[in-house]
Amino acid sequence: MTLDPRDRKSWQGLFELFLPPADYRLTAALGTSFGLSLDALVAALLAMSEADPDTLSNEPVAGVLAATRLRAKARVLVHPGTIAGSSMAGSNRFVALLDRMILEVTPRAGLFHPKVWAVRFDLMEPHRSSKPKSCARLVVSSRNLAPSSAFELGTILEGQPAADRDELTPFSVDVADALAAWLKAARGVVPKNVRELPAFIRGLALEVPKEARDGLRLRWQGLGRPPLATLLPPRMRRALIVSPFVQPDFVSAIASRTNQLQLISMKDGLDGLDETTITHLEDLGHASKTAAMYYATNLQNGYEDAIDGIHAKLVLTEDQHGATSTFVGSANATGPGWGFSTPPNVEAVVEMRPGISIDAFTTAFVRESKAKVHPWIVEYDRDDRTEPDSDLETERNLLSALRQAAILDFTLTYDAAAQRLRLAVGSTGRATWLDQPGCTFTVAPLLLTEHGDAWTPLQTLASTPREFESVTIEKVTAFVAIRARNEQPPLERTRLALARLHMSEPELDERDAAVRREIMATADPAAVLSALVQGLAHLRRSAGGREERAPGASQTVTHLFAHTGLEQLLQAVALHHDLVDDLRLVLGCGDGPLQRLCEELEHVVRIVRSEVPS
Amino acid sequence: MSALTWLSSSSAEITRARDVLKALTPGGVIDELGFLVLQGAFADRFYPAVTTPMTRARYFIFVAAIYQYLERSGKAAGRDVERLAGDLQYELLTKVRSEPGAIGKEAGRAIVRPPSEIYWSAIAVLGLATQRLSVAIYQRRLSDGLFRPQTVRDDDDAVHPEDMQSLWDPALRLSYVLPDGVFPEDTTLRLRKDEAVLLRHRYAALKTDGHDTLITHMVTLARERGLTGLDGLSHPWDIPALPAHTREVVDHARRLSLFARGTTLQYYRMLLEKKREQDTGAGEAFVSWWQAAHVDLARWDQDDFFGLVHDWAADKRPLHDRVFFKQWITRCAAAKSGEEALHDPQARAIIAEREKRIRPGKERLKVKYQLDAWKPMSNYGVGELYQLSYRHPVGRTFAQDVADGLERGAS
Repeated sequence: MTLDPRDRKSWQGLFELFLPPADYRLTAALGTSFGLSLDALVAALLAMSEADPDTLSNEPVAGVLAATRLRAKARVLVHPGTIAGSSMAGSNRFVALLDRMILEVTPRAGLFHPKVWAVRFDLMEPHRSSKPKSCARLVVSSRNLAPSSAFELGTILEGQPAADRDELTPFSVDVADALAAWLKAARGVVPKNVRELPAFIRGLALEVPKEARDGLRLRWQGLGRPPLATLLPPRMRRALIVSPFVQPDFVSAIASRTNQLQLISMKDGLDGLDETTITHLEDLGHASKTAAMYYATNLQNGYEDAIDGIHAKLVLTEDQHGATSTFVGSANATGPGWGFSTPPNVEAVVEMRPGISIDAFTTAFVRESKAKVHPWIVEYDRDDRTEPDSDLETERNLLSALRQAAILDFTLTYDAAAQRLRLAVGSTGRATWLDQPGCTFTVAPLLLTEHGDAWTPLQTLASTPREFESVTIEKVTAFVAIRARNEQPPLERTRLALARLHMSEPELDERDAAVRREIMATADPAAVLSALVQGLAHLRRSAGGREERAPGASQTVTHLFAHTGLEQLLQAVALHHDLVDDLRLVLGCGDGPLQRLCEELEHVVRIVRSEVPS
Repeated sequence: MSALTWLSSSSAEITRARDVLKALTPGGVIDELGFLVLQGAFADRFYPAVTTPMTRARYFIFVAAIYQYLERSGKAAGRDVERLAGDLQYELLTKVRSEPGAIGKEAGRAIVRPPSEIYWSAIAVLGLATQRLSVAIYQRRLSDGLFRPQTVRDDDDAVHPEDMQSLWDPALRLSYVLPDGVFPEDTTLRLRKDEAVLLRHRYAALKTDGHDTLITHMVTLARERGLTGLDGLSHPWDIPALPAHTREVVDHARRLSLFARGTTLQYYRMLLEKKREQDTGAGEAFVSWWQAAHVDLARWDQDDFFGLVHDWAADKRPLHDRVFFKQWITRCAAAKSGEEALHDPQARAIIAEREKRIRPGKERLKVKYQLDAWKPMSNYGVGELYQLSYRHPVGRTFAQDVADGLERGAS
């Protein structure tokens, strides 16, 4: 592993990591993210549900299927106020199906910032295969569940349940402890599959990469745990830091412990450092005859989208005795990121020993030779410093205020009989950000935002709850949109928060059914089953090629079989025992031909199961 | 395989997810019985470079000016151009928010389709852009440093810093629109005189089948007759003094709109009966429509109409459309009253057959959950005769904007 970004083998797609290995299916997934966009969440769900990208991208049912099939299997934990809607979120009834999949974690102080994924896969035909019955994939990275065009780094670990205690990997226990603690701190209902995931992870034997042959642990801070800073050697021969965000407290602390430090960041991040810190770094550079500061620009490698900037967080250390460590994950080079200052964020990094050597990483990513940096790297020159962009500063302030607004106690109460939705917010308390001159905050239930009069000033809402009449159940979602508008410079940003939605789980099921029914009313029902079956990657492989679906294909069972062979259909149902249930949920109630087909399929599966020993 | 790796930033998965989300967003256009293709064929001839979401003509100028500024300033290089352009369009909104036709008043920064997206393809049709690039490709190239100012030296080694490779027609000199990247406080949706001249010429150049567009006719009309408002021209067929050929085409459009209205009202009534819901106006609106329409429709030269749309290659269902039009109009004309026409079983069978062809498998008259999902309208517009607008309201506003700019625009 070189981490040379020009080498295709150095890259891995995040969403590909959600795809089950051959012969397996996903049974549970739990992720954490500081920022989340609904379209990235849908992309993840599509991958988890094995939606075939070539045939389903324009099928409305693909999204419904993914959300339905994963309703009890996948959850994402996020920091409040970091959810961004897609451009059409407010008009999209489908987003109502997503609110139960996102759980907010609000630390008492600091940000919930880790980016960890744990995914469990189970073998579909355990009695016919010698493969392990279950396996797992763990990802600890810098990547949020949002679009990104920057360099992002991640550690991927795969494994299977350990045969005995000696095989257990301590890293698995670390991840299980972290996930359990984060789930405990999350607000909302956690389904059984996800709730049981930490216990499953705890028993894994992981395949350990050679960079971690001497040590592999998940280190995390926040929620009362010791800061990550305690892991760093008190004295180092050399250190290398990669981080888009840098603050003097962290940089100074590292610089004071080492004789040689290389810092790779973004230009605006380095521009923002104070003169004392810059001077300290430059002195270190002069003493060791190496450049101390670099920033990343862009890379076009021909097979990825253009990379622009860096979002990876990496710390490489080499102590006085030559022992090396690598820390990679979510922690930025800031005081809160490593706990050098309070309040510390919740962060998670992988510690690997020996890790990657500073020389190897420098060669792969920073310098082609002593005289020349790589094309995507620029040596930092303080004289080229640009003044802070006041618009960017305004935007940061707006986003920070939105995050604070999102942790307010929003509640939504729905009276189904009266079709009345009530939005309220608890006390805004000492929310000084609310009084910023020239800045206004308004709130609306997400699926009502298309109506201009749905927006209510936050301060008004704090004193008087708002009631919305004639709201049908499929328009009810826990998402509320919070909009911040700044007059000068004119700027507007909107983020989503999750309100406490006072509806029972059965009522939410009813809501989901209504949403699905409404979508299916205008979708091609045949596409549902066709998509279910065609979307399963393992079936595609075993069934060979498939026919193109004719435009406007009709939805009779006959037509369905024209595009989805009976053998393929039976195979799918036999392997995925819950497929028929999913199908029923998506199609809703009724007695149409597809519903009757469901009954027949269940009957066939019962017979087959009774005949074939498991 | 376990590894430390760069995580791919491919946007393909996100794009696919957005496609799925887009497919799940309810459409805004109601085309109950399949008239959209025919309406589009007429609208493209009456109002080329006009689309329904457009509001005011000066957005052509603003969009071009925003991107000219991004090219000229070099600020787009290496940046997220969509976002930069979005922020500038939001700043524009703050200046024009109080004016009729300001786009994004409600959604603000969260707007689904900003003006640049709404006006983009028409900008190329009008020749304001020199290439037909998608807005995404243009933004990418702009970010990549293409379309940026270039210092050109002539034979005498003189420097011409203003020369640049630009997407925009060199005739567009729009730096006054947002000097230094800021829209002046007095920015307005009213066209300046030179902008109005430009747009009048561009629309005049868009002759369809050798004939002037209706925008050109209305601008001429407003100027010749000194009209300060075109509001009285509710439909294309209200425009006076059209040349003979245009008048004939417009009259076919009128009757198509009349026909679409009658069939759709009867269809709504059938749905209401099927749902066993009280009719709050569909039947009344149909009876009122029949009184005014049935003789008019009976006199319609349908062969001439279908000959016209055939020449335009717009007859996507040539045989069925002809049968549907002819049979239903025959039943409509034969009825002795609006009530009789409304309840005529044969006319209803024709409508049901049409639905089957237009919405195969999704027929509300046959599939229960499709019927359940249909929501009756709150108002059926008793007294309204026409269904299809052919983008006339937008075209009329553009004509008004241009005429006002020519007469009263700032110099």
